[in-house]
Amino acid sequence: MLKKLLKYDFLSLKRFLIPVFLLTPALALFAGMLSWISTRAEQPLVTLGLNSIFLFSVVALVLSVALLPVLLVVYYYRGLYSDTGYLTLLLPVKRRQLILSKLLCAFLSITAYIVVAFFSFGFAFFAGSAAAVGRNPFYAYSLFFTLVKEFLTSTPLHPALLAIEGVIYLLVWLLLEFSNYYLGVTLGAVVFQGKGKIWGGILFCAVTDTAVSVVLSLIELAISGGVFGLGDLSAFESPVVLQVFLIVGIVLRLAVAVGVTIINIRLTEKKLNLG
Amino acid sequence: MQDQPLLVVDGLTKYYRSFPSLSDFSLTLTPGKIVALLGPNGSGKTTLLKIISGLLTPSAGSVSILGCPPGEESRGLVAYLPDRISIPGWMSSETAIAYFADFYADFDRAKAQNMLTDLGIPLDKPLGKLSKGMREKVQLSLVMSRNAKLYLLDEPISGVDPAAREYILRTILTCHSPDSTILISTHLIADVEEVIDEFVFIRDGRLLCYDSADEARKREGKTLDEMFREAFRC
Repeated sequence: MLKKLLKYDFLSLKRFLIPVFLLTPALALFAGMLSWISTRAEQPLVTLGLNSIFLFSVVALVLSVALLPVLLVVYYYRGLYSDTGYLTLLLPVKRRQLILSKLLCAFLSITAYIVVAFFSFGFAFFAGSAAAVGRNPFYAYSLFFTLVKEFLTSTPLHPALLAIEGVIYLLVWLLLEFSNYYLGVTLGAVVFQGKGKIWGGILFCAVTDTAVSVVLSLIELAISGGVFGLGDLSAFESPVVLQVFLIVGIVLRLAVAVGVTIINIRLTEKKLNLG
Repeated sequence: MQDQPLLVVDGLTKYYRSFPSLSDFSLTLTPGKIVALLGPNGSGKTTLLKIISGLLTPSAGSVSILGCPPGEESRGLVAYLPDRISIPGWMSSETAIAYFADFYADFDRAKAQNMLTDLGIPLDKPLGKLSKGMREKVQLSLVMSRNAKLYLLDEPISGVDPAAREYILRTILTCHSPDSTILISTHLIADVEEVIDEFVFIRDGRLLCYDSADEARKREGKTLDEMFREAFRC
């Protein structure tokens, strides 16, 4: 059933995903080309004009990046608490499958989008300056990967292991973010009625995410402060300490994401309020 | 078999904030009936249907559909037509049929396709591009193409033209089987009068009357419409 739910979630999201996935690289290409042209322009007025357009395109680029998470949260709300909820919530499937499907869908979409956004930003910001010094527009990427490699080899852990753990940490962080947002939407729908559900959802999204982030930061601070002493970063030179610290961070965030999702499922099951 | 209850609603109460939408409402329906749920606006009809379908959690009381409380299992037995369009505009009728066929084991794909063809609805056009009336017809056709045990229809004929209304009522009668019951909420009593077996009058969330339509008409010497006007006179 989860597979079928995922199929229809992606089919539905396709309308948003394709434009957003195209918009970001398009804006990046535009910004990168502007930046490259402005490095060649000789008249100050032309440079100023090009830089101004570049600035606008960068703002548009940043907004396009913020668009997908917002669309995914709105999609979750609409799928369960607007009129479409009458279709989805009546399906003979477990409510947890409905929520998991939307969570997985958001997680996979945003993960793919991060790759697109990463390359887009790299091109937008560095293509122009690379070209100005006679390098190819993609020089910044090779520079970036060299820097990452240098960083990875400078730590006491094996570079490949650290890279894998870093990626897992990022993925778990994304999962936790969307778990928080979706719990916020459910809380808004349970507590408020009618249009208030939307504003309540936005409020609870912010509250849930902030609360979870603060609590997690305090726990991590307590662990690093209690175990290693506050501000004493030298402890991280030990591979064991660094390894434990990373694994604790991943496990803690994953556990919280699972916990938050379980609360969300329970709330959706027990307090369903499609009024 | 006929007397085994299909739906048992016991002491159902639902509060919206402090306002009671349903108060200690009890009702038992047996299979093979077409039951009209009648009451003025705000009497609790939609709330009752939503609780039975599992879209709302009651404040007190219980619901049982063939022994199952509202949940995953009961959703496979109940076909609910909401009072609003729930199928998203991006779906075409074809996709909506595939969606129902994928999730409902009792869905009859051929029946749905025939109904939509009869109604002249293009199967490949996104629903968002169809008129409201057409979308309502698609939704009704999909719901009635299920071989469910209990159909909950919330105002199924209010938004459609008289010709389509006739088709819908005919469809309801066609889809009706001896082991299924249709609970239909409507204001258009005159239109459904001929097809219903039993009726429920509901006022302020309370059960006012539950009776056989034929017996009540014989006893009172009035049509159901007249009885309704008398019971709910402002």
